[in-house]
Formats: sequence, structure tokens, C-alpha cells
Amino acid sequence: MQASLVETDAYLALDVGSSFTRAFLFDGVEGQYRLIAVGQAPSSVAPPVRDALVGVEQALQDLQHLSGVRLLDEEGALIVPTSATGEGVDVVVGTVSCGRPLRVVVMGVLPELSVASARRVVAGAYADVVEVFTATDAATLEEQVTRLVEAYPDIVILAGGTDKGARHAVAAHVDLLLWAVRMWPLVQRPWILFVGNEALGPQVQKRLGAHYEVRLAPNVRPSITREHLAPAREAFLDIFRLLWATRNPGLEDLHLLTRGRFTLTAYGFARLARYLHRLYAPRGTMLAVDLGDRYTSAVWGALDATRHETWPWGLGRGLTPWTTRADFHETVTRWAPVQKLHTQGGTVADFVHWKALYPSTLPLDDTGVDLEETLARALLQQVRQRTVGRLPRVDFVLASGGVLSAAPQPQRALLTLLDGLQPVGLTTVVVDYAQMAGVLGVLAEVNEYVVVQVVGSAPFTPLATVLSVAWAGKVAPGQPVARATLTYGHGESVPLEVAAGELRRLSLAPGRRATLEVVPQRGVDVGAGPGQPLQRDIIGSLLGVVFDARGRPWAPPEAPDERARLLQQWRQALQTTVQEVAT
Amino acid sequence: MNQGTRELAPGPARPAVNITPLATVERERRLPRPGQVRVAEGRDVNFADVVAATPRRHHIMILDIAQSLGLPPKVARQALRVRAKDRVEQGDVLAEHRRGPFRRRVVAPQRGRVLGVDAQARLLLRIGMEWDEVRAGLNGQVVRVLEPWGVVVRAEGSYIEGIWGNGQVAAGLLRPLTARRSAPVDEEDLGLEHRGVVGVAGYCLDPRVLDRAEELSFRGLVVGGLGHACLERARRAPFPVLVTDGFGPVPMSEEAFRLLTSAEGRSAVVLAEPWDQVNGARPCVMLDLPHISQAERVLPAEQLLAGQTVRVLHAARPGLVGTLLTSQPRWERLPNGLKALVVDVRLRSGQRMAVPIVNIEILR
Repeated sequence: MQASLVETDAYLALDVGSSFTRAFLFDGVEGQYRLIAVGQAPSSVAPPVRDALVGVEQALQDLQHLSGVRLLDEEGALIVPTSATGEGVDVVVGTVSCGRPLRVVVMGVLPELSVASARRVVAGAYADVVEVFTATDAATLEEQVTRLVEAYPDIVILAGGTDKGARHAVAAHVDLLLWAVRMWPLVQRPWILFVGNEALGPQVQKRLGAHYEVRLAPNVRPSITREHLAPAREAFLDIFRLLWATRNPGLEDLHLLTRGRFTLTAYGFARLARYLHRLYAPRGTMLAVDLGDRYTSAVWGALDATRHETWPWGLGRGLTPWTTRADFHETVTRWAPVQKLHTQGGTVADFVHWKALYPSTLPLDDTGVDLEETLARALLQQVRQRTVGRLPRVDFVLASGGVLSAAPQPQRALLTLLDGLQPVGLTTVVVDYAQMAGVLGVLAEVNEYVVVQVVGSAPFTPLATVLSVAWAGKVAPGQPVARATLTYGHGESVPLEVAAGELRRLSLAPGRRATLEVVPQRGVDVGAGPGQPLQRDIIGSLLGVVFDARGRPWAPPEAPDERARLLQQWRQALQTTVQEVAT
Repeated sequence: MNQGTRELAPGPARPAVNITPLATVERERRLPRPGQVRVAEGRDVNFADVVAATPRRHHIMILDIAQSLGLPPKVARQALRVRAKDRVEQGDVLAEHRRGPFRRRVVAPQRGRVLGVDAQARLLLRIGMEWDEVRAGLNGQVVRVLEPWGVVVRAEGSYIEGIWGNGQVAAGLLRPLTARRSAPVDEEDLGLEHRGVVGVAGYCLDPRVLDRAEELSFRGLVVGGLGHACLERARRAPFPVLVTDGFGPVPMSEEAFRLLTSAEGRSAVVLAEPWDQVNGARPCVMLDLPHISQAERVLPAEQLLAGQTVRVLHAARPGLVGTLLTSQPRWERLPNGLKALVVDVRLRSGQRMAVPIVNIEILR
């Protein structure tokens, strides 16, 4: 590993988000790559600026100031490669999540085969699948044409047929597209990505090529038992980038600046999540969540079968779809530790509307922080329901996003995560404090050493190892549910009686190791099954080992005062003196 | 992070909220998808004029000519009497085939337009369309055409920007409904004398006010704050509802209330479209003025400068206004523990406050 560091390159990673643009500088420090500094500026894709590069330049100036490294020359251009005096950087990479989601129509033969594969091509990208057509579609031709035309897609993914397989269904969908072309003016026509039976590619190109931009990629389902997504994903991403670059001024320049080492933040996040999954729980399951301003991304599952989804909702602009949902307002009000925003009496629901309207603003008081965390809990609950289900056994959690990454104290981030995700069993929790998971995912393709070494440093120090206890039926608060013993590396043991309804913490500093033994009461599940004991070697973290014995599923008390009291009590229980770790 | 102060580098400015008695406004009016622009540059427009449109719904029929005539597709195509783009009336012959004394015909079931025929001799007939339309939104002049998206309309008058709108646009005579900017409007405040007006009130928390306003054929309602309980009702209101300052019991800003109430009896256009943060267009009220001189040009954003009047965006203390003391931001930890790039603001109460720059709007 050291061999690659004889001459360290300086890496600049740019992340253009909906609210903020960040610039990360990585360079060698005493033979190891480290994050040197992070510059930040408001994003500038939206009016009045409408040029992503302006926000990038601002973030670079901030980075220059913070790092002391000169990055821009007299004319404001980025210095690449580094000069003899150490100015500038050698490699630039970028991620982006600032645009509106693309509308995608999927066409395939069978819902569970080619259509499912085509959906997986789109999964994780900032895109909505707005309409699906299959060979078993019972609608009349008129209805199908109308559905297709009124879907106004940006991209149509045309799948279907194993190699040498179904021709008729693909031909029918080509016909459908030819009908639609009569109603879409040229400027409204979508790109067509053909990922079906490869033998039909030339024919599809010939029939559709005169009307549409057509791209052919290898079949996503070459046989019934085989799925082959990578080339189709690459082709989809190419089209995606092109469309976003057209619609978001400045992104094309960013593409040039990074020499094409430029992808969606969600893709980078997924890549890093998988890397950390291998590191922290290679034989376990993961749930990684990036709670952004406009989008939420999740990666979950076992290592060899992870799934990735991105939804067009988040904690800022992405709240808008929720503002009209009564059930969402109920959930938020149910979780909020306060009922009134201020003395004049604004409600929690008023805050939701406010946050959707002013996504970039920071809370200026404690109530604001409480309510943003409440919103995060509600959205994390949505993530849990859409991914791992009601009582998830998750061995590793990675969390990113402003509310979690920049929480005033680490225990607040942990409480938000535990309440929202409600894992069961033993879980290692890592928070992406510098919100750089996306760019590290891209950097991994350029130089894996950077990622390996940065991930091993402060910005990725694990937040906690959490033992979440579950049981069926009623257990009175205060009743013992498990006995735990933490044996440190030097031999010292600390016993702990865990009672229902409480949160407890034992210190285990970052870098240290220990063995945790837990013996549950009958019917109590600590991750090994009801009544089964658990013994695991665990690693140190900011908060050490946290015992969450509130039960699963856990719901907050009805009375707001009681909620506020408990929240305060738990924050104190998890209180830490650990210094801030964010850069 | 560095704790010291430093120069604010030139770059993205902070958004500005414009409340000005004499303004020149240029407003982009865009379609959600490309379509047709229906007005030419230079044309005077009324706020209700449609300036651009794009199809939203297509009503179509697909007629299987081959099957109807009992012919193979190739022969059926030869029997067609219409071509793509032809307009047809109900009963017009679309295809006809004679064999000896027998004649078979396919006639148009409805009025429509032929969009094409495929190789199987299936004919696509469009029998109707529904459009997404964009209206001018303001009384003014088209100064630019943004083909195929829409136009830019220039208008002059008194101008008040808001933060939320229900998507409607209308015009009427302004009429205050509350005496104070911090007073709520009640159902009882609305009498027959308010029929057909644009009402102005401090804030509204009671959805029955909106029911009553609808009964009175309001042409618009402008409030400082709107409660959550009213939002759904406001979305369904047939008249524009515009919020200037916040959600809940939020008073209207002094500047907006003064300007709107001093113009009682004057005609106002309420363009209550949702605030489009991608395109930068805020909902607004525009008051026509007979003659304008020295109108100020409305700007969506400006760079921070010491001495500017700014609005502090604080969910729990809406309506905070102050003067920017410095434009040079610095990193600071807020009392709630969050770390932010802040500038100093002196509030009208005299209190000095470190405010994150992302929580600042310039009040113009």
C-alpha cells in the first residue's frame, strides 16, 4: 500500500448538491492520504445564477482559504496538475445531485424478468419510473399509446427477450413508440435505450432511429437465469448525464473539468457503502442511507445481493411531496418533542411547510434542531419500510446527510437513526461526518488507496456499536431484559444489567477492541434469536457500546411533554465528551 | 475550521425578496414541457392572456382499416381516402373498397385529425386535446420569446413578492380585511361589501375564511401567514391565495402591509403561482400605476453588502427584519450547537444576532 505513496497526487473532489456545493481536498500527510479540508458554498444551478460552476468556484475559494493551498490562478482557473511549489491539484472528480429527476418509461416482456431488470438499470439514479409496459398489458392499443404519450418520458428503456428470444413483444413496443412519435414534437421525444434481445438491436435502430435518439446496450437478460446490468447502467448513465448537462447549466463544464470522472452522488454513495459493508460486516447485512435535500438514497441487503434505490424526497426541497400527506404530518407531530413552534403558536405542520420552502436554512434555535431531527426520523421510517422492513436485523448502518452528519452532538444523530430505523441486534453505526461518501465512491475508481486511508481516518470514525433489544408481548419498564459483559482488550470486564425502556452506554474508544457477551432473558432477542445469548468481538467508536432496550417496534409516548422528557433523558444517557470529529 | 473573518468572495448572491412601490418586473412565463408560444415579441398582454401552451392529454382512436374492410393490410392501405394531417368531420369517408356491386366504407366516428397509418393499415385519429396553458400573469408587454418554452413579460407598478401561492391568477380591487398586520382574519370580518375584492389580512388560520371568501367571489386573498389547516382548502380555492411571510400565525411584513393597505381600492393582479425555486419565480402582487417614473428594477438576488435591509429566515420567529452589519462571513457555532458561516445583523429591536448566510434574504 505504501508503494503507491512515493509520490502522492493531490485529489480534488467536487460535489454539487441541491443546496450546497462542496469541494474536498485530499493529499498525502506523513505517508497516508487524508482529507485536508472541505470548502463549501451555496449551489448555483438554480436562478439567479444558473451556472453550477459559480458555486464550484465559491467552494474552491473557501477551500483555498481553509486549507492554505492555492488552487486557483490569477484568472480564477483551477491549477492542474500541482506546481513545483505545491499549488493546485492533480486529479479532479465530481458528483452531482442538483437536478430534477428524469422521467423514465420501462418496456419489457415479463414483469418479473426483463421489466425487473430494466427497473434495476434505473434504480439508484435520480429518476422516476413513470410508466411500465409489458407483453401482458391488458390495455387497448389506444390506451397504451395514450399512456405512453402522456407519460412525457425523458428516457424509454426498451427491454425484452432473451438473446434469440421474444421478438413479437419487442416489435409491439417499437410499434407503440412509432405511434407516439406522431404526437410528440421533436423537442419532446425521449431517448430510447434498447437493452433487450441483441439480435433485434439493428432492427430497433432501423425502425426507431429516424425518429428518436437510440442507444443500444447489451441485453440485460441474455437468458432467463442470467442478468447482465453493468453495460446497460453505463449507457443509461451516459444519457442521464447528457440530459442533466443540458438542463443544468455548468454541469457540462464540470464534466470536462473532471475529464469524465463525474457521476451521480447516489452512485458514488452506493459504491462507498458497499466498500464499508465489506469492511464492517462482510457476513452481515447493511442499510446505508443518504438523506439529502432533494433525494434520499438507500443501499441495503447482504454483501452479494445489495439493492440500491433513490427516491425523489428528502429533508429540503424533497419534503414538498409530503406536505400534502396527512399521514406524514401525523407521524411528524407524533414524534415531535414540541407542539408549538413559538409563542404565537405555530404548529409542527407549519414547520414542515417552512422547511420545504426554505430547504437550505439552518435551524436557529433548539426547537428547530428538534424538529429537523423529527422530520429525519419520519423519513428514515419511510426508508425502513421500503427497504429492510418492520424489525430489521441490520449489522451495519451508514448514514449521511446534513441533519445526521452535522448534528450538534453525535448522540443526537444516533438517537435520530435508532428511532427512524429501529434495528434489532448488534449494529455498527457509521456516520459520514464530512458528507463525502459520494465523492469517495468516485475516487475509489481513480485511486483505491485514497479511499482506504481516508475511510480509516477521523471523518469515518464509527459512531457507535448498538445492541438493540426486542421482545414479544409486554415487559414492564425497568424490568431486566439482558445481562451484558464488555471485556476490554486488556482484560478488564464491565458488567451491565439492561432494563426495559432504557438506553445505556459503555465507553469503548475508537481504535480499541472488546468482546461483548449478552445473555438475554427468556423471550428477549438480542440479535441471535429469542432467548439466545450473543458473543461478538466489537470495535471502538465515538459513543462506544450503546444498549437500546426500548423494545421493538418502539413508538414515542402520546404526551408531548413525556416525549420531550424522555428525549432529554436519553441524550444525557448517551452524553459524550468526545470532541467533534467533523472536519 | 477557521474561526477568523474573511472577505466574502464574489459569487452566488443571496436571494432578494422585492417589496417596492415603483418597480419594473421581467417575469419568465414557462411551460412545464416544450410547446407552442402563442404571442409575438412586443405584444401588450393582459394577465389572463394565454402566452404559451403544450398538449397535456390526447384523445385518440386507432381504427383497424384492414379488419373493417376485410382486406389484407397492403390492399387496405390502397383503399385509404385520407392522409396524415388531414382534418376529418364525423361521417367523412376514411377508406373505401369496391368489389363488383359491393362497396365497403370506413367513416370517421368523430371529428378529428388523421395522425398517420401504420403498415398494418391501422389509422390513428386524434379526436381531441387538452392543453397545459401558461398565462401572461401580469399586465405588461412581451419583451422576449423563449421558443418553445414561453415568454418574458415586462410589467411596471407596485410590486410585492410572497413565498407561497395556490397556483391561481386573478385581478381585483384591494381591500384590507384586518386593521393590523399582526391580526388574524375571521369569518365574521368578511361581509357583503367584500364581494369580488382582493382581500388583505395579517394572517389566516381558519379554513372557514376561505369558504366565506369563495361565497363572496373573492378575486384574491393576500395574507402574511397561512395555517396548516387552511393550506388544503387554499389549494382548492378558485381564486388566488398568496402568502407573503410564513406558515401559521405569522404577521405580514410591515413593508408589504403598508404598501397593500395604502393602495385600497386600486386594482391588483395576484399571481399566486407556487414559488419555483428552480426558475426563481416567486408568487407576487402587482398594482397597476397610471404613470411610472424612476421605477426600480426588480432583482431576484443581490450580493450581501453592509447596510442592506435583510429578512432573517427563522421558522420560530418569522418576520425578523434587520440591517446587515457586515458582509464578511465567518464560521461560528450557533447557540444550538450547529456550525455555520454567519454574518452579523442588527434586528429592528436593536438586538445583534449572528445569522447563517443561508438564513438571509435581502429585502429590497
